Amino acid sequence: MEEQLIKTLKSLNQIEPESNFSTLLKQQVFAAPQRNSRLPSFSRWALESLKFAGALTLASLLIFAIFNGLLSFGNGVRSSALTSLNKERMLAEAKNADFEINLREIRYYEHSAQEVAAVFDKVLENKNAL
Amino acid sequence: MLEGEEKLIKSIQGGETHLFGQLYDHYLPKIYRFVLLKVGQKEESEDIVHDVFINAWQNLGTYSSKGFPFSSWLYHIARNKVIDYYRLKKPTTHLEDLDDSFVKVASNAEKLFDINLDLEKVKSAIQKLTPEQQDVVIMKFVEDLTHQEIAAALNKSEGAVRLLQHRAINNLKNLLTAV
Amino acid sequence: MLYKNFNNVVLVLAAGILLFPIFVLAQKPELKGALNEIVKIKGGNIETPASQKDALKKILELTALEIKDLQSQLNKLKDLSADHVKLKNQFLLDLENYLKNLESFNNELSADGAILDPIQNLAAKLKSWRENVYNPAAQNIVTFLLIYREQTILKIADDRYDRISSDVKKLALAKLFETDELEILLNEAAANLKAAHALNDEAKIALTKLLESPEINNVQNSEEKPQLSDVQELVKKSLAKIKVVYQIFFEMSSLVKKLL
Repeated sequence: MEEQLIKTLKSLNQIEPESNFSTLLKQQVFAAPQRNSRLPSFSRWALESLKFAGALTLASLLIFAIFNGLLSFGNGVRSSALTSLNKERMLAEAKNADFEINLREIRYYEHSAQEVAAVFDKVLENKNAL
Repeated sequence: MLEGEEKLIKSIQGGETHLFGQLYDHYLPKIYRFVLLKVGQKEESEDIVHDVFINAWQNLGTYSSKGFPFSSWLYHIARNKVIDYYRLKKPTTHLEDLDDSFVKVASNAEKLFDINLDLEKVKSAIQKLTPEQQDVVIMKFVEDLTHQEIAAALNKSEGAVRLLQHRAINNLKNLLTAV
Repeated sequence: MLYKNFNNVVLVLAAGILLFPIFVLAQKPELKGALNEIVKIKGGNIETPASQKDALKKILELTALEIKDLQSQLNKLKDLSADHVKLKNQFLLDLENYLKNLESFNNELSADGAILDPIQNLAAKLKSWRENVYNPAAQNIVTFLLIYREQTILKIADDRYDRISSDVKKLALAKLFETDELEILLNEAAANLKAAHALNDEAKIALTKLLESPEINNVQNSEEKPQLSDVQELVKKSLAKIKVVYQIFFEMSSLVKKLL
């Protein structure tokens, strides 16, 4: 089924916009003003280099400053995640969500009704037999 | 990806703006399909696609190809436009709302392939996925993007994209067998 | 060490599912005992007036125990909507009336001595009462209880989700590893929980409609009344969504274990 599904999905590739729409939109796009024209290449290079150098310096300082703090925070977070995702507890909770288990009460009353009806029938059989 | 795409984009950014037409011709059908399969309404999809390409045209100067394919950038814009659309309009989208032209194009596709799965049911099922699952299914299977391209478009790790793909396919299978 | 391997998990789950009904009935040994008595009578000889009188007596005892059990369960319910508080109170009132009916049947039974005809007339009356009044009411009540039992299960799942969500946020802040896969799974769990809540709400509305008075029903008779099985089906679907939520939680647990 998965193979067929993927084949069908690939076939959606045939969808195309209407040619009127395509032509009109192209005209509209070219008619729209452009923003953020590119800087000359040297200025661009200089800007990028500055950005990178600044980022590197800041990163080094931050790494040094927060390293110890992160370690202790990290350990606390680890144990918390293990607790909230504790499999045994989740298993017990998941068990309660089983429909058949929850339906037992309804089944009990259906069963009780059937057994009692059977006894009534047997009692009343004898009336007819008399 | 368009052949020589990086060079083409650099040329456009360098001032040869008339070359944008090549990008437009290559990506319009892809972005149109992406938006239409998510939104489901032809007119609204055309409006969104209009906004996507205007945005791309106007902001191409800010695009930088370092590890971020152009397709990913464009899909990123498209995704955001779809999110804006839902935020503003809160439409109730149903397959019945799709007009004839959408159905006709899709049914032509159905004739070309010997497939048992009803195209309409698949399109309807896609609409029932979460937005992220829709993105991955459309980009991966309809548009044949790589996991890397999809990850860049969605700002996620490749692992997350694979997980979304796996979940999306399972959900589609469940939706289609329940019908 | 905190995590058992997959096979052990399956064994524990299977054992739990098999043992749970025994556990439930064990909690109500009187009911179980009384029903066993009825089953024994069914299999035996009930041709004599004395044995028929005894059979009816046992049926009345069983019915009284069932009514008391239903009263006890209803009284334990919490967080009901306003409509359902009224419904619960109505059920309790009905059950009180049924106990009075039983008292009246008991008095008739005691007065009859060991004469066949009156006993069988009483049997016919009691049968009709059970089948037309008591049994349908009991089924309505246990379906009502089912909806609220499910609501409790939903609350537990919500709490589990909140705890996990809080921890995922902390993990994201700690930046020990990429958490976007966990976030994807969490979002999916949230979507399934939302769906489970919606189905539970639908079940409540359906049950309310089902138990609407005939006068109201006449005014709105263009709408088809839901059946008990429809209500039960909604609860079944809601529980199925909750199970999916826990499957996702298990997947998250494995993922966290791998990442840590």
